[in-house]
Amino acid sequence: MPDDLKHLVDALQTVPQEAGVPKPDPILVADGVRRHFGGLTAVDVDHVEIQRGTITALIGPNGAGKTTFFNLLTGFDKPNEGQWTFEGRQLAGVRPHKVAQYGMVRTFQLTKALSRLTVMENMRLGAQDQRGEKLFALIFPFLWREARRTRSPSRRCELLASFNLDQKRDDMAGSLSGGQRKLLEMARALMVGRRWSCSTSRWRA
Amino acid sequence: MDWGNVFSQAITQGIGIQAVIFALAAIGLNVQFGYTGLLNFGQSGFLAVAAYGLGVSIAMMGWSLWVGLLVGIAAAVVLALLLGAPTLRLRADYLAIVTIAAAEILRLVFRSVTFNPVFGGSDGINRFADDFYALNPFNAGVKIGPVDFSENDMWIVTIGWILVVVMSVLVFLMMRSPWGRVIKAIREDEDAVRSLGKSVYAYKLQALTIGGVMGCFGGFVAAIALQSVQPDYYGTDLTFFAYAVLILGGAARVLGPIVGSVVFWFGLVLIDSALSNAVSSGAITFIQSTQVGQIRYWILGISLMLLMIYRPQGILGDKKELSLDAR
Ligand SMILES: Nc1ncnc2c1ncn2[C@@H]1O[C@H](COP(=O)(O)OP(=O)(O)O)[C@@H](O)[C@H]1O
Ligand SMILES: [Mg+2]
Repeated sequence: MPDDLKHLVDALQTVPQEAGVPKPDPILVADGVRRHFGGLTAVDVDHVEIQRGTITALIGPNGAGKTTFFNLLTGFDKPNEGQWTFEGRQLAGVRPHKVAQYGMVRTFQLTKALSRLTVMENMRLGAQDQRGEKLFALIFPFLWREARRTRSPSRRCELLASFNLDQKRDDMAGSLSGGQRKLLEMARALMVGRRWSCSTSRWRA
Repeated sequence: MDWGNVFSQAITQGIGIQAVIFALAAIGLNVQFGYTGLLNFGQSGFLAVAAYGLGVSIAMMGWSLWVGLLVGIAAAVVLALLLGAPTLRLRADYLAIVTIAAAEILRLVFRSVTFNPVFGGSDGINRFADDFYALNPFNAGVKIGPVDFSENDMWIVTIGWILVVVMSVLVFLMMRSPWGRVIKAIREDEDAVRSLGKSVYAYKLQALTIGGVMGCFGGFVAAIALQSVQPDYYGTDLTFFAYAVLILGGAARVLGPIVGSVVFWFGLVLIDSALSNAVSSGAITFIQSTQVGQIRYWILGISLMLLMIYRPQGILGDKKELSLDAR
């Protein structure tokens, strides 16, 4: 483990092992988040904090409400009540693409690789603040070509290499195996946010 | 039977006014449906507001051709925003319902008795394009081999194909850019695109507007070529023919609408004039000349069904790409 992360984990050693306990350096804090589907209460979270710089797992039996909770946190679903902050920013009621722009990026339980784009195009889609994605720049390639060249391709390649997808960069995402699609989805999410990504998955137990 | 005449008519129509109009309408649909996956079933409405914008500006207001064109484009933009703003956040089918209804409402308003002084009722607006034909550089009709255009037809057809080429180049540039990458990704899975920090709603609204404005040039060409704007030209069948043209040529292919439109009109006119010729020369006796109009649509429909069964990707489409499941 790199030394700069070690102190983050050490900080958790003193934290009591119980639900909803305060963390020394939380990146996400949620309070009173509830979601009802008719009579069914799918999510009822009094208080939760997630420590910065760590990998945190949310576990529970099928139907416990894990996916629904992720949907709420990332703006894909609206809670009946509740507040939460990410990096100190209130996120209740914020639209999903804004949540992603603020650095909280989700993946999906049923993998959403964009099948008819290549692996590389999937990765490029993850990058933020691309001038060529603006409507008025698009027919003037000289406005965005440059930006595209200098925007570190190494990051894309590094990510693809670390997910073992660098051989597949020019293949259609739809031709990947199920596991590779999940990897691509994760790598693509990491292109967006540098801070936190939350995934809901049945791919790894 | 006079096969020479039959082919001459089919070829002339295959590169003529109708082919241009439907190519333009289908280029717009290609941006909306082919690339973005938006179900716009009201493309006829975009052509109608452009044609009426032009006709009313010139014939009723006495403005110039250029102002008329600007009014038509503005009308198409406003229509796209009106249709898209409330529906594009909802599920895809809502846009389909709203657009088909809006196009029909527009047609009925344009042909209504109440607005007769402005829109001319069911007679529409006529003879307002003299400014356009005053610019005509052709001083004689053109007859090359089987192709035969009058001087005015030659002028509008030339301008029409130039428009088709310009629009196609624009579509090519758009879809090659990072903007186009977002658009194509939205067609596959909006939620995935949202999760990557893109405002899907804004992109869909842009695509609907661009496609509407591109299609609206089909309305200009129709209005100018016929020197007339008639409400019933802009019915639902215009939209469905434009879809047929797009799918025949290959959706999400830059040249799909052009190939589709040429093949569609060549085929339709070939069937039509071959049948009429056969009936009038006595080669076919079991149908009458008045039935030819209906029967050509049967044959067209059956051909399109066969195409969908044996070549669902259209003439230019890529079967391999179609078979990648869009999950
Ligand atoms: N859109 C919905 N409408 C109604 N009930 C839902 C909906 N989404 C989830 N649920 C219900 O909410 C509960 C929690 O589901 P979910 O969050 O998918 O569980 P998990 O991901 O922990 O397995 C389940 O009982 C599920 O049936
Ligand atoms: Mg789940």
